[in-house]
Amino acid sequence: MPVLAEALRHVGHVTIRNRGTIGGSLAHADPAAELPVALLALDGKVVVQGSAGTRAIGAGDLFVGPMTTALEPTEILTSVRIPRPDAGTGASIVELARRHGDFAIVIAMALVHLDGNGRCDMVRIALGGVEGAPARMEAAESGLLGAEPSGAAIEAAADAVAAGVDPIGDIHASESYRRDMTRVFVKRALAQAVERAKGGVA
Amino acid sequence: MDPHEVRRKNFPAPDEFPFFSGVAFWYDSGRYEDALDSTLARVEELGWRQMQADARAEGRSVGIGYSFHVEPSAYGPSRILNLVGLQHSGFDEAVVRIDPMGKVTVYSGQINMGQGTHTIYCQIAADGLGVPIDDVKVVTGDTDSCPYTGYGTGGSRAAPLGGGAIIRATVRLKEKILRIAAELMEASPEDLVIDSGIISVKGSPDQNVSMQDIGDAAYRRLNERLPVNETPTLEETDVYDPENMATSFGCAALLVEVDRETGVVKLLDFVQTDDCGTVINPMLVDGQLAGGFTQAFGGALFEELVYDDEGQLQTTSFMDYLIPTAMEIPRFEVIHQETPSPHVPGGIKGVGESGTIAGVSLVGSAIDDALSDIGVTVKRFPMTPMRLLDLIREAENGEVSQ
Ligand SMILES: Cc1cc2nc3c(=O)[nH]c(=O)nc-3n(C[C@H](O)[C@H](O)[C@H](O)COP(=O)(O)OP(=O)(O)OC[C@H]3O[C@@H](n4cnc5c(N)ncnc54)[C@H](O)[C@@H]3O)c2cc1C
Repeated sequence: MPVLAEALRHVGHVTIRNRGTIGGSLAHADPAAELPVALLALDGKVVVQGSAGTRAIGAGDLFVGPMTTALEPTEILTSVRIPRPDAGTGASIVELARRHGDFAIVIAMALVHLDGNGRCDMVRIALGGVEGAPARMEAAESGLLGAEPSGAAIEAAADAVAAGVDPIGDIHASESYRRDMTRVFVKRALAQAVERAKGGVA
Repeated sequence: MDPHEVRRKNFPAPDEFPFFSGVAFWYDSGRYEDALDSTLARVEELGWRQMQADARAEGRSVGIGYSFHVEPSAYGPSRILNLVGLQHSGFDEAVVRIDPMGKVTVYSGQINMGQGTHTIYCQIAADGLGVPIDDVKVVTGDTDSCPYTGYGTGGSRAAPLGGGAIIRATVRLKEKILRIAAELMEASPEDLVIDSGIISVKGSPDQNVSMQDIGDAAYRRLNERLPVNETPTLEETDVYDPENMATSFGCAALLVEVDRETGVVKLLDFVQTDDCGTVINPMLVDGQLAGGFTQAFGGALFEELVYDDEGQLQTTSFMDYLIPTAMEIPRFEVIHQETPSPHVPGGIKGVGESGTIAGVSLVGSAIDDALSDIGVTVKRFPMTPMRLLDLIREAENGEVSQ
């Protein structure tokens, strides 16, 4: 999964990546962190253990708000499981930050698999940095499912994502700039994922 | 008219220097057109224009910006500084002392803040006296032992004025060394040379004395060794108050790419022809410039204190106040050109601000060039992605950018 390495390149700087852990980043649940977005797009889950025993939490249920997960106070995250994407899946993660390594204004990650007719039979889009928690963009995904991923279809999906988000605003990116950039980066992630799916590069 | 033509029309020619600024000081010396030509030639050599054309053919917006700067340095004649209202003067004082062992100590009122002042003072004193650089020590920052400075470390004055005072002190000290050596060798001072701390008779290097011999003759065993008219000890104090400022200058060029969908500006490559008179230490000049370029790019693209409508500062940490890192800056290439100052000893000019001056207008003109097809004129800094995207949209919608 080379896309995981691509995701990590955006995390801070070398020293930060040396010290930080994957479990720590997921448990920390920063809304603008890369690994939570990757876990969502790759449809992974975490295994947590507490006084009441062990359970698995799917990515979609893990991130409940800014810096907040579904872990109970007595639980710790003990492992991360990521299913291997089907052969031929194209993946892409792109991000906008003011400086390299800054927390993202927008992180968009997309996974696309095409059937024999060049139509999408699997699409996953995950977004970070835009709202209080990272999330899958399911409405836009289903819009692309079964469709040929043409430029227009990708634009439409990106528009749908941008129209559906409720962006945070700060001094680096106003709400409307974040919404605009959501559209641009979802489009770029999808376009690259499709390109890679066509070329057979994950 | 081509912007470079406007520059050429306004450049004083080399023989028009010193060129009166209209207020208080003269541009002391310059080869402005040479600096422009050197930068233009390098841009041509690097193939930027081809890169720009190729990028445009792919629908990418690449631009080349230029900026020419003059840095008034070596602040400055004391009476003129007073005349324009400053409450301080502009002289600099240095003490150069050779001890009985022939080793040199320079005392200065300047302070090293990382510029490498001690290194250049060692170079200057070693060069002025003809001794090995390892035999020179520099002391600064001790108000009990160090002399006064008219102003301190600022206005790019440590090298030209602090250094100028050292040069003038070493000239007199060297004359004294040669007079003592002449006595020791029964020769004439004019026939002597100093090289690497050895004073010898021109043409017969075997006939020589060392700096240690000179120290001994000046401090310990004076009888029949120190010339009778000579004061014991080897120490010179110099107070240098310049007659004018010294104007460094240069021409910078920058290659940028603008992402029209995001307003993000990427700095791709950078060249500056820089002329700070005599380059004492190229590595330190490059260091001063690199820091300046980076700071200027910070001002041009990143660094800002943002207030909300109620006047509350929103920029409260270094996560908000963005200082460029190694990832945001391009490669820096400096081409050294040397036009000595006619009035400063050693021809030295300052270089502390030559890196920052061009940067902001440079980024602005490069962005303007990248977006020349839609007619964007950048006038506000930092040019953040949000602001630039607004300008791009206004221009694309045919509105006039403000
Ligand atoms: C300058 C800087 C830049 C950074 N830039 C980025 C960036 O661009 N993108 C990005 O994603 N991150 C960035 N980070 C954050 C960095 O990745 C964090 O270190 C990481 O997210 C947290 O991981 P950690 O292993 O250090 O966890 P810790 O700091 O040890 O823990 C973080 C939180 O999670 C809890 N926790 C940790 N492990 C577990 C566990 N196993 N089970 C339950 N709870 C746990 C801790 O109790 C704590 O509350 C940056 C950090 C710095 C300092």
